[in-house]
Amino acid sequence: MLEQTDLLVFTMGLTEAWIHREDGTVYPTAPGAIVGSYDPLIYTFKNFNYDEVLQDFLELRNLLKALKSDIRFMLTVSPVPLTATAGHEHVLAATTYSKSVLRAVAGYLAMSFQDIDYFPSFEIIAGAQARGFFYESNLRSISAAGVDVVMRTFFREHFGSVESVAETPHNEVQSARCSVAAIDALQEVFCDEMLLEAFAP
Amino acid sequence: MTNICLIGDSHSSALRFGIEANGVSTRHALTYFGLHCRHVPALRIRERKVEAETEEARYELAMASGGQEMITIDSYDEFLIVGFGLYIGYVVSLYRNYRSDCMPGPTRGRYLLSDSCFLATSQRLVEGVEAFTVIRLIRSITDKPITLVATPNPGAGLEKNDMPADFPPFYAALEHGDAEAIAMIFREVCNRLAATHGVRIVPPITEASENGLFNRREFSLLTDQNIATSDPIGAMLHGSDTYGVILARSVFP
Repeated sequence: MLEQTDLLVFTMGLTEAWIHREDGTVYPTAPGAIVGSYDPLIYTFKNFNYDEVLQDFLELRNLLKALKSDIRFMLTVSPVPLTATAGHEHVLAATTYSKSVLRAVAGYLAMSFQDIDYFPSFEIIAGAQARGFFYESNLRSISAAGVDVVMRTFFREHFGSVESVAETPHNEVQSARCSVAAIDALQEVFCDEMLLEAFAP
Repeated sequence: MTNICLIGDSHSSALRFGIEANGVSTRHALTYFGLHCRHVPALRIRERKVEAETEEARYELAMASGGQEMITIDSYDEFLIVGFGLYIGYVVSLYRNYRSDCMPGPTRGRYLLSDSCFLATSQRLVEGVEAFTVIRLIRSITDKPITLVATPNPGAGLEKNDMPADFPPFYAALEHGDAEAIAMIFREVCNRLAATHGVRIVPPITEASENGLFNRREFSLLTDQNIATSDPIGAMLHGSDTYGVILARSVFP
């Protein structure tokens, strides 16, 4: 799939992770915390910093460029705050740290590379101008209205308008419709005969 | 006795047989309006009546209903919409290039979408069919109960190589083990659209199902040798009288 990808949309979530002490495998949650038991001798908590996140993304970019030299990237930062932190700070401070690091890395990459762009879904949802309106009552999940505003903005900025996306002939929805419509057209006479047979006096 | 207005395309034929066979007419007064899908865009609401703007559509409406060229909404207690494009084939068409997390088949060859994205795209595809145009027309003037009946799944038994080039990839979904997942997505799409439009939707009858995406041969017109020979695809896509009987049981429980 990656060999055919023209644009990779990559959403950065948080900086907290767990690492296997021996082989360096990175886990998004503490292994064994949900099922089994967590072994601190095997795994260790890691809160990545700016340089590490930047280097990791540059490595990922190189890997993907080796598969598809003209691949491009669109970065976003998830506006969903942390529910909890494994660090020693308050979760509010931990959230600000995570999002700040990721947002700074995304901004630097977009400014530095022609093939990397940044889309500000984070600012649309989490910015003060939104007054928290786009969060659900748990103050964490993004509401359907928020997703709608983000996606409408995205399509307007990149395709001209939401409507133009829907009307693009190469659009997958249109293509699937055409596929079924083509079969329907072949069946028109048959369907007419069925109607006549069923309802003609 | 409930006055029911049935508006349907060629798929009404099997249901009509089932309605008669099950004795539904003794409990409900049914008025049939037959209309080909292509005439749906010609329908308009005028003075609480559904009218057709073309001669051909008016003729079709009158043909089944005993001469009524328009549908007087206030004359009925309930509405039954049959077919008009509510078809699992749209979801299968999306599967031509895309797959979702819930599909166990091979990961290569199809772009991966999240379950929610695949579901939302499927919903948008299906919501564009003519059945919802008819529902919007009726809903614009009444909140009386509306039941929407999906077209049957294709009958099993034809060879993959006999399918036209544009035919949705039913066979590929089956070969890859994704058929059940697609059928599940279509049922969920029906549930969501029913909630969105305030209607009841009767999806393809699972009792007739074979491998999730197909109906057993006997529930399609492939069992009619004459029809199957002259137009196998048409025969495959339409339900038999046997299907109509079990369908009528679901529509009128």
